Amino acid sequence: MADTPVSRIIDARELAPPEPMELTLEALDTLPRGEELQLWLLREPFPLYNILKNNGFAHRVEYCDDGRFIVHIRHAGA
Amino acid sequence: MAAELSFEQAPPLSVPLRFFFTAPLFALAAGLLLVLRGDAVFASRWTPEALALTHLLTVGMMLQVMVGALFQVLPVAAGANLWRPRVLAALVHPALTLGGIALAAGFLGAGALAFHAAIALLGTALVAVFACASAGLWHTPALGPTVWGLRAAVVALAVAAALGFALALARNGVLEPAWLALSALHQGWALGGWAGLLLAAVAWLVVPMFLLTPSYPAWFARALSIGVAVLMVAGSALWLSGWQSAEAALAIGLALAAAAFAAATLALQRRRRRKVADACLRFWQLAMASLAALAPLLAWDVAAGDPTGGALPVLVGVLALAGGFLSVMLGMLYKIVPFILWLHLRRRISRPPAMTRLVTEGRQLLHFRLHLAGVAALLVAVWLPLAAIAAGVLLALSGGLLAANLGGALKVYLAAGAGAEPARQPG
Repeated sequence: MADTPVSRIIDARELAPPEPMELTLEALDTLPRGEELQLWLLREPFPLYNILKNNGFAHRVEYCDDGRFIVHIRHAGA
Repeated sequence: MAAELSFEQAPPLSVPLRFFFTAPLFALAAGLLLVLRGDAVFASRWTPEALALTHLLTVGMMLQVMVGALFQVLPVAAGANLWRPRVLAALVHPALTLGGIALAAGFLGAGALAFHAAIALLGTALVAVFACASAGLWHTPALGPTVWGLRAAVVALAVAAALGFALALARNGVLEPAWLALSALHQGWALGGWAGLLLAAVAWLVVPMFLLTPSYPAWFARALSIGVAVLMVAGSALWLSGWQSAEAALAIGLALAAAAFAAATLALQRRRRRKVADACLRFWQLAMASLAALAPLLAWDVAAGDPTGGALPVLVGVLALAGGFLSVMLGMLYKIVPFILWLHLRRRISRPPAMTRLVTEGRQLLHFRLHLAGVAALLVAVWLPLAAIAAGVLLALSGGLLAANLGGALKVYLAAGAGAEPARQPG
């Protein structure tokens, strides 16, 4: 997954719910297979994980020292 | 694609909403009691009317909101549902509702049967909530202060309820009257332990999330939760061992914790990234100002004795319940309910209406002003019994407006969902 090209970054650190989820779900509509969507947040989006899992997306979470959670999302098996 | 997304993990919409729609009815009942018997409510915190009003607000209204929110917060905070949410809600909601009514009736003189019914019904509800929340909370892989705070709060709820049941049995004559002395511990565990720890645990999550503030410092969140938990356990043990000053030490400890929490939250809110002062922020600010104001009063009451002849504890109670916990709950309901309606709409239609359309900012601000006037009237009524009538009317109106606003959001949800449905039918 580390080599997957990043097609888009959503920086949702300044957004109140449900804007981060809204933007992410919209972006997933057009996410090409083999490419990655990054979601930047200041917390872990637990409800999103279930939605991703149930809809054929794989994700990995990275926690950065600056307090960011980076959720790397791509099509499962891609 | 969005409309076809699967959201199975979120609890069904009817699960939290039934609690949120029942809560305003208890506010209406509490308002009515204030209008009819306000003089007795404010005569002392121990009058049957004062106890009935307190429990209409705490067990009737607030516990409904808190249990309903637990169904919703647990998946968000911990990635774990309460076990079998639909079955659990079907059992807990009627038991909690009827138990709250029975308890208030018991205080108002309905007799031993009402207290027995309250113990059985509330006992069933709380044992079920405790078991299912514990199962979810202890098995989640999630870490952090919110999960630990929720665990501690749920344990405190069990202790507060057990103490409450002992008190109900003592009022019934089943237990010796000496057991009534446990009421100090019951208040401490119910307000400081359960409600206080739950408020803090939810705040670590929702203050940064909804009010767009920086996060609480990790050391602060940990120290406050652990400090309150240790205080409750050690203070109770010392109280049970007969140490004279245990009650004062517990009260002063909780006052310090409330003041520290209020100061930290207000400081974070001043540093919020989006400088919009919406209704939710105002509800939080009122709550934190109330907690900050009650802390020295509570400390003064226990340290120097009450020089006001019973008014001080009532004042502390008004600030804690109406000013503090109720304000936060109203503010959060206006975030949580539109959010879950939006989330469920998103399941069915790809472009749901904006969350702000479900309950408009204007309606939320109207409710904030009404609630603020209600809190002010309650504070005045501590000294001027006539103001209790105004406070009762305002509290009842607040319950009515909450029901109307939540009902309005549900109406938008149903209309948006109904409008979109035919478009998704094949053919």
